[in-house]
Amino acid sequence: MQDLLEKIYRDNDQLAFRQLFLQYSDRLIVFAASLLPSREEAEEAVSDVFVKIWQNRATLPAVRNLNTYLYTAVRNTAYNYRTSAGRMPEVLTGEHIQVAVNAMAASPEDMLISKENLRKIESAINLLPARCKLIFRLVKEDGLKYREVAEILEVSINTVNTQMAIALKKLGEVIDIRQHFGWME
Amino acid sequence: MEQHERLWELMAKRTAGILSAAEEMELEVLLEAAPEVARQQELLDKISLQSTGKPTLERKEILLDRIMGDMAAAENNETPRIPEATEDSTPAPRRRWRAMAAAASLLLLLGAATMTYLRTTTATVVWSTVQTRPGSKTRITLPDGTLVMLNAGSTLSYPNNFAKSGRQVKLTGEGYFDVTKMANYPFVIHTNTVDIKVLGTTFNVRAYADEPHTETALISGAVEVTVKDAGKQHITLSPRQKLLVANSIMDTASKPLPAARPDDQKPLIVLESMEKEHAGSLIAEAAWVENRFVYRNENFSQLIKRMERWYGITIECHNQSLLQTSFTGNVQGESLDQLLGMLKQTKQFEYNVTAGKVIIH
Repeated sequence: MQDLLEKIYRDNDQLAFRQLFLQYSDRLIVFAASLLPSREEAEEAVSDVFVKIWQNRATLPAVRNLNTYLYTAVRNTAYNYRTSAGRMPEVLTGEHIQVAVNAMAASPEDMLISKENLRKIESAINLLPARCKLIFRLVKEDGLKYREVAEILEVSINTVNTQMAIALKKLGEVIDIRQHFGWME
Repeated sequence: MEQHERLWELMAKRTAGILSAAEEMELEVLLEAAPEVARQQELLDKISLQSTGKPTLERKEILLDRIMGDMAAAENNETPRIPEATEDSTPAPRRRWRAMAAAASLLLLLGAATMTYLRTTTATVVWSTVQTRPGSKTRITLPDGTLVMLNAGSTLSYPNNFAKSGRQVKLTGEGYFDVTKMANYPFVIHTNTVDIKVLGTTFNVRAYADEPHTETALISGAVEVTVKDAGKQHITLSPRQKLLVANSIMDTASKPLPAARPDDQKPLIVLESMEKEHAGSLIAEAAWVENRFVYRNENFSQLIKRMERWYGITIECHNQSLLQTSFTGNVQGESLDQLLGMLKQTKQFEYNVTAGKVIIH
């Protein structure tokens, strides 16, 4: 990733810039959509961020953490849209992002979670309170660290930890373990 | 109660991988007292999330073109692109959005014209088809320089106006792809169960009609897999990840739910991490390219289908308990006789070979 940034600010490499966009746009657009009322505005906000990144590429060497840099830029742009539209810059009135849940295995021999439990977890995630769900998504889907999430959403690490604990508790409760650990009965 | 809260606090920390050694021991003790919670959390670790409604690769290309347009415009006229705040209650970004919508509809009109043009010439589009027989493999270089190794018993088709038609191919069977990088021109592989879109990368696709799964294994770069059932999930793979989609996913939409069988509990989409094979330079999924036949924890009934294709023979198995047995191994350039000899060491069986047909007792 550092290579990509170097190519952008040192060589003005537009191909590297395209690659950066393709790698991050999914996550950033979904994130923006949770802050803004429409998909179109979410795409617009992320596009604006990338135009600015190119224009200000000379400042890229100062970027310590690309994740927090990009997500924070998207958040700020989204807030600007909201204030300029006369709306309150209050978080999370945007689209409620739906998630699909699939099985993941560490190796081919790894035990798989049942289809029934996947379905239960999926509906439980989609019923989480908006903020809790956003935090859970940023950690589990986007792979962000707690301190990154805390910085991006301007909350304490403790808040992130608490919200994650709530999510883990609620999602764990819906899982029927008898399908997997029959011998425990 | 307080103890229980502590359990969740520690559990959340574990998820982040920020538990200290002392906390880890503390959590272990708490979990021993709550075995059900421990099991549930173990299972909760085995999920992967995909937000729905992510933009498609085509949509991203459209956005990128706009971004590049804005970048160029900003560099040409030194004036700032963003208009100053006015009395107008419509905020600047939204206004720009409307202008872009107008431009987009113009593009759509142009698009419609291209479509009709394409339609009139459809008659002249010729699909070239490369087919491999059981027991043989082949190597194809497509007009854009993309290299495809086609495994035994497979079919690859591509249109004669390959570049113009947006680099599309159709695959049944197994292929190893090394796709030439071309910005703006994604390469698309259509199979029965999934569509795979890439920009430039190396990966293996296994889509045999007689196997339970369609498998996409990514070696380098990034690919986007779209599942062709009603859900139309887009899943983006990272290197060393493999996506298995049950081919039966295609009939769940049309058929009413059957009575629950134990088999119905298997997930339809599984994301798996791949381990590097020590024997060769390639991952196990692509070992066939190096003429290696790799089988890992594979059911004999599946294994004989692969052996039939690999050696171009027919295998008949009358040994029921053998069909339920799983095998693991790795051979390179071995004859059918040698392979059968190796399998016999795992589980004893008798066989005889007559005119291209193996009969196992």
